[in-house]
Amino acid sequence: MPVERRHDISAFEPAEFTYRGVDVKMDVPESIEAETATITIGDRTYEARRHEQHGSMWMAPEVFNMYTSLAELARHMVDLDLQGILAPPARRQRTPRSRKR
Amino acid sequence: MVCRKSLARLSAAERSAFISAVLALKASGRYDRYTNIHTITPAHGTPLFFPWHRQFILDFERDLQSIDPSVALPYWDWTVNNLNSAGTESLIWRDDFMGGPGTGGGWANPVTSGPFAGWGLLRRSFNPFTAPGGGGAIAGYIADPTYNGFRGVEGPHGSAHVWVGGDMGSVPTAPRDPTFFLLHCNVDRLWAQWMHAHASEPGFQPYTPVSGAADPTWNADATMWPWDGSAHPTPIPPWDTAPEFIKVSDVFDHRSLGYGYDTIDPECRPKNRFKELKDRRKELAKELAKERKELRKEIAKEALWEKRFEPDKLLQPEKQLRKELKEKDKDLVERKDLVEGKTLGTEQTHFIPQELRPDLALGPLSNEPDLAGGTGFEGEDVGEPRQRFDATQ
Repeated sequence: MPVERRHDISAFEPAEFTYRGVDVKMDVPESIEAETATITIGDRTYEARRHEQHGSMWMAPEVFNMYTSLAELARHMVDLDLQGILAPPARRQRTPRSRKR
Repeated sequence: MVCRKSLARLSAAERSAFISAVLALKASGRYDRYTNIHTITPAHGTPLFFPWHRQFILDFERDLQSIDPSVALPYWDWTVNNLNSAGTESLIWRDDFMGGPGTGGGWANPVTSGPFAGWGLLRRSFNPFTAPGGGGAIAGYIADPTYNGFRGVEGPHGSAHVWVGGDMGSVPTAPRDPTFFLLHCNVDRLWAQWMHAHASEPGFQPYTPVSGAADPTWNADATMWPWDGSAHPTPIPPWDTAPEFIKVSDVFDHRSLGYGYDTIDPECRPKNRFKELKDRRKELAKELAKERKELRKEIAKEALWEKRFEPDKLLQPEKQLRKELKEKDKDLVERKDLVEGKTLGTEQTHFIPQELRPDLALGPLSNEPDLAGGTGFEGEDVGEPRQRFDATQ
């Protein structure tokens, strides 16, 4: 299946915003073709990536669903965090370099 | 019609049948296929989310029914706590159903209780007396008459996945945990509920896009992977050689697929269950009345027999005879006692020792001459009245 690429709205949303009282920062890729991005919620930074088949979708290993925009994904992560069920960032646990440090 | 109902309404027997069928499916090796398919499904985050999962869990239910035809997939309404009436026990996270939360303090801990304890499942250490919630958001999505609006339900569905955590918290591993099928049965119910709520509204579409989608596999008349055997994303046996061309639109009407929900379909609503019980009660009352009638007939027969032959009268001579015999027997015993010189009750028969009066024949005191002024024996001069002998003197 050809990978779909669309101008998703995340590229045009502000990189920093406050949602439900929580500061959110998105490291929005400069290129809309970028495969990964980061979302910072408070002091935790999560890695988001595009869906393999549907390139317009953003997902994160800590979140079950995928979203059509990075900001939507970030907002859902805040929702989960406020419910107390957002797991710690998986990226940091998996990085061998950070383990050495 | 197969009636799918809330896990909170399952009887112990229904719970047991469901679990036994799941364990049998696992033992047969057919269970893990569901995890493998879900790992690569392109349905999430797309319009296909609802129809694709409908067919997916229907396959699972039919697989279970091939083991036990009585089994129906129960649903987990994750917006409520699902506790027993006393609030002391969870109806889902119990040892005879889904087992408990993960054992440990992390986000993915081994499940060590319940029927799947040996499966190597992982879950979060959640509180089994609580639930993911999200009922308010879901009510809002159901109120939206557009399919795109309703699709927001995928959000709370994801929260429920993450709430269980462990295997359930990730797309590639979620179906490892049988809770997946209960959660998705509820997702399916919500889609049916939404259609039921808006079906009569003009221009209502149970699904969009009907045609012209950015991805043609999303169109209502498109066939769905993996059943169509297509290579998007990869062909899956047995459909790679024997495809089933199931269109997205083929699964809009859940009733045509042979099942219903207790919150939607009249045949499956609890009040129909009450009606069933009421009808059963009537049947039992009829049977009872019939038995009573037969019993009365038998009693009447017996009464008639008693009246005709008067068994009391028949037995009367025997009774009389027994009474007479008893009296004679008593008399004989009394006589015997007299002969042996024994006392009969408090009556004293002899107060003069025999060695002092050997002339006296044994017999009752009344046979002796009257000592107090009696005449004595015939022809004897008694003179002064004899003194009563006192043996103690």
